Amino acid sequence: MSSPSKTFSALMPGDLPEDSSKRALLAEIDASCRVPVLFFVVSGLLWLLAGTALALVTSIKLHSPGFLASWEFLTFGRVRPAHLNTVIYGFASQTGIGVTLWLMCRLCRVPFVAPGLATVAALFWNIGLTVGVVGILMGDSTSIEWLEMPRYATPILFVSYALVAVWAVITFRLRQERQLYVSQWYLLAALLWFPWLYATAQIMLLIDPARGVVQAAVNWWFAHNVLGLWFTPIGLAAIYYFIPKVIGRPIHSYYLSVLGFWSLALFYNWNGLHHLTGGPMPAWMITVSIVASVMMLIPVTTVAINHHLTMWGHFEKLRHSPTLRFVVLGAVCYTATSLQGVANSFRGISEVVHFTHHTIAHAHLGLYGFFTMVMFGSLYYIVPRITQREWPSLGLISIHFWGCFLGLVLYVAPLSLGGILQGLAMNDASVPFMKVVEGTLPWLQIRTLAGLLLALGHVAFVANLVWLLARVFGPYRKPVVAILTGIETPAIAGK
Amino acid sequence: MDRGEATDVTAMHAAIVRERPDPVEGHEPLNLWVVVFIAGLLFWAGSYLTQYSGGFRSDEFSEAQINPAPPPVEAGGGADDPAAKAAKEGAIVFSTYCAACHQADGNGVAGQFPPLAGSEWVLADGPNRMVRIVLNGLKGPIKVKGGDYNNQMNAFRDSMDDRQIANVLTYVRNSWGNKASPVTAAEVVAIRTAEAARTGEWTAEELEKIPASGGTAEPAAVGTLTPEALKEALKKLSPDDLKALLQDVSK
Amino acid sequence: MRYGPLLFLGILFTLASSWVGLVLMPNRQLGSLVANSSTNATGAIVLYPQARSGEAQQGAEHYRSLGCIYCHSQQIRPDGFGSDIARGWGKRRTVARDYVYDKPVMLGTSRTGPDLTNIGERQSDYAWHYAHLYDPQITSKGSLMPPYPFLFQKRKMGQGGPSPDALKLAGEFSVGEGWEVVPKPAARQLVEYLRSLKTSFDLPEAPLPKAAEVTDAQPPAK
Repeated sequence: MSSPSKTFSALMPGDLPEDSSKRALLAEIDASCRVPVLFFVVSGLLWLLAGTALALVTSIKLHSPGFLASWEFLTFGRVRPAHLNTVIYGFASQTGIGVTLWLMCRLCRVPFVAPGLATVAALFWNIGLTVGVVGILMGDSTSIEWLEMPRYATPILFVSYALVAVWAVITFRLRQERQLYVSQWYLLAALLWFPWLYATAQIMLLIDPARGVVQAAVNWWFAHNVLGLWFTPIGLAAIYYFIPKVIGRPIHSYYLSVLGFWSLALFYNWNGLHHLTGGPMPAWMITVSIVASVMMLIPVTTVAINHHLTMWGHFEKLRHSPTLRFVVLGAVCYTATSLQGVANSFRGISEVVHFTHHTIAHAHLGLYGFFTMVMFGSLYYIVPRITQREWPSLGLISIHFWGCFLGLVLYVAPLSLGGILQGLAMNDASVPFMKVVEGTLPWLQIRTLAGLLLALGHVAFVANLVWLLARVFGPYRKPVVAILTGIETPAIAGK
Repeated sequence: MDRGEATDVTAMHAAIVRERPDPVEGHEPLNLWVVVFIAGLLFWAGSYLTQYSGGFRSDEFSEAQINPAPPPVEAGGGADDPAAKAAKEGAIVFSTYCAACHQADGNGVAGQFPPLAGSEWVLADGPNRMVRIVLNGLKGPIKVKGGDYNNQMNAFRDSMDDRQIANVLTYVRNSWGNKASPVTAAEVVAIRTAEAARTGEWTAEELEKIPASGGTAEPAAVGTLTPEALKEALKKLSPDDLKALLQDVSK
Repeated sequence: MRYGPLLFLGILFTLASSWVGLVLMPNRQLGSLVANSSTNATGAIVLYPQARSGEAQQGAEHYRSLGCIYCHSQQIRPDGFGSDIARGWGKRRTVARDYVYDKPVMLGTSRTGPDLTNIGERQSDYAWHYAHLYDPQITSKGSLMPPYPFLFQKRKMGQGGPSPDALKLAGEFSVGEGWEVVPKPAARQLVEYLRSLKTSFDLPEAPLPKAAEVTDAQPPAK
């Protein structure tokens, strides 16, 4: 049997020869990540299932208001924020943290420092979240969007987060690799920005509420920045890592990376108040946010050029790599949702789409189309490496991808259109309000259908994961399905 | 986790082995068009900020502050076809204030809110009773189209102006098969002035004493209450009672 | 980029810029806003907005707990921007001062249902609100609003007939002979809150519009 490094160079002609001892370090890093990353990832995916169930209930209630209506804890005004908080803080944040931990370890070339710390953090996060979501259903929702979990739950989450942040700083200090890759800039930024956002929101909205509409300003500064300064950097970091990694080519341009990062850092955080266009805020606050939203064209186009030109000419690799499929879909959705967001911020367009279902479609294109797809792609890459097991079922991967892709298209396109029609009708005062409501019904029903497709995809993915994890506890077996690089390693072939 | 007994070490690490090297950044130079694009955006940003910031004032809510718009005037009569405009406004006012109870089809809700379609109260030859109901509200038992209703309708004297009341009543008197004379703003003005001193909702009994049509109806208040008589009555109150009355009235 | 400290400083200052601009500055400009004080025709001092009554404040808590903001907004956009004023949802746009006493401020971001800023002016009838909350289909057929039966109590009618605040339910909504549906305190408080929602008050920064000239007679002064 040829040595691993020779085998490797035989497989990848033209690539840089790698010292097998460096590979051994990677294996060690992956093994050290196993428990904490898996804890975050598995918790995150369980919350995804819960969030998907809540999403279906919410979606059905919106077009069939009598559905499950006699129970107070399931009333629409409670399941809707329960769904939001479950998917943002339960699924997206935890999966995001799991992916962040692995990426940081790999990029800093440091095995996982203090895994116990991160595992405790994950435990606290789940406890805090459970308390919070149950609190919302029981009636203690704060009715502050993106911050609905009651005050008694948030300190628990904050403790957990503090542990993660401390871990990140330690790992960064211990890094072996001096050059900082672009993903690390984004990850560090996300880890430092999030606690600042959260603390400000907690203090100025819940602990010592500001007066009147200042609350609205802080609320939307916070909520938009959770999207832009927490989820977006993690998602972009993952895309910047996985696209070049999987196709084996460098990122298009370092200078674009720098420009993209700093323009995002400077402009994104000023966007928040475009959620209040037409509202009871002084004109300058809205104008400033609109300007910042349009300036977002700079980071969005530079990142789009970087990602898409790196992919250019390599689209056939999408067939073999689920990682690439999901991550590239996520990158395309990032560009799409950002352009849609820039358009929506103009006063003339906001006049039509504000207060309509168009906003919901936009939010899902961003959080689901971009962030969730990138997370799925990342997990397809990370999980086999930290568990040393391959994905058992190609079929489930296909169901996952197609369920999510078709569900996403069926969700976003009709509801965006439906929202625009709703807004146009609402802006015509001679159209009675009830007629506006009736007009939205078919779009809402299509959305439930889309939700069923998404749910199917999620169930397929979790089933595949559970199957894989079941194998972790068993003795190592030759994988039933050769994995999808399209190459069978000589070591496996013939056995 | 597998007790270290597997023998195929390379196969176990297949994922690591087939992995490509970590990503690096290429050094494509920055395209000049990107710079041009950024410059253009910055220029736009500057001009937009200058025009629409309302002077960065905390009390300027309209973005077009340099030439602030005068306080908006409600869309008045005149211009194109006044009758069509009036009908349109009547429909909108109905949909905003009345449809919630009387329903968009004018049939009301059985046992709760009386119908307007085919109602004898609506189809009376003049608007004297209808205008009073809209101005001050209605409470207590009332018979409409043979059905009994006993609910409370709130007063709209402060929510609607005379033109809106005239237009909505014209709309009601001419929809859902109703056919009756239109109501003019002048008639509403006259009735509002006549009933200026009235507080509290009307009852069906009181209204039936007023003729449905004919001139500026007499106020149906108890006794005859001229402004002079009102002044005399008020002078007789103690300062405390007067204060209480004023507070009550100005709610 | 190689320099950790440079990266760290950049991360710090970029977020600090909007923290100052969109959090601290608004707080400085609007954080000590108080009610507007004016004198009315009889010379009395009138404050607007006024603090809510205890019952109405309790109602606001129910509004928050039930998540009404996810379908109802409470903000009027300026005349000509959208149709808020043309629909009669308000006489003028809402401004910061309209919300000084609200905790939390419940502006809402969705209009699955109509805006409620001035619902107290459009609809102050208790019976309507109770019927609408109990089952929106009673007053608004085809509405997407869910029913809130848990805010009401179905009980046996007393000897003397239905209670004064019992809902008048007929047809498909009736609850059978000898039974009645009465609002629980939570329903009453919520309705008090809704009745308190009124903003048609003149403010220096947001005057009420002057009524147009009536074509055939002078309107009384507003």
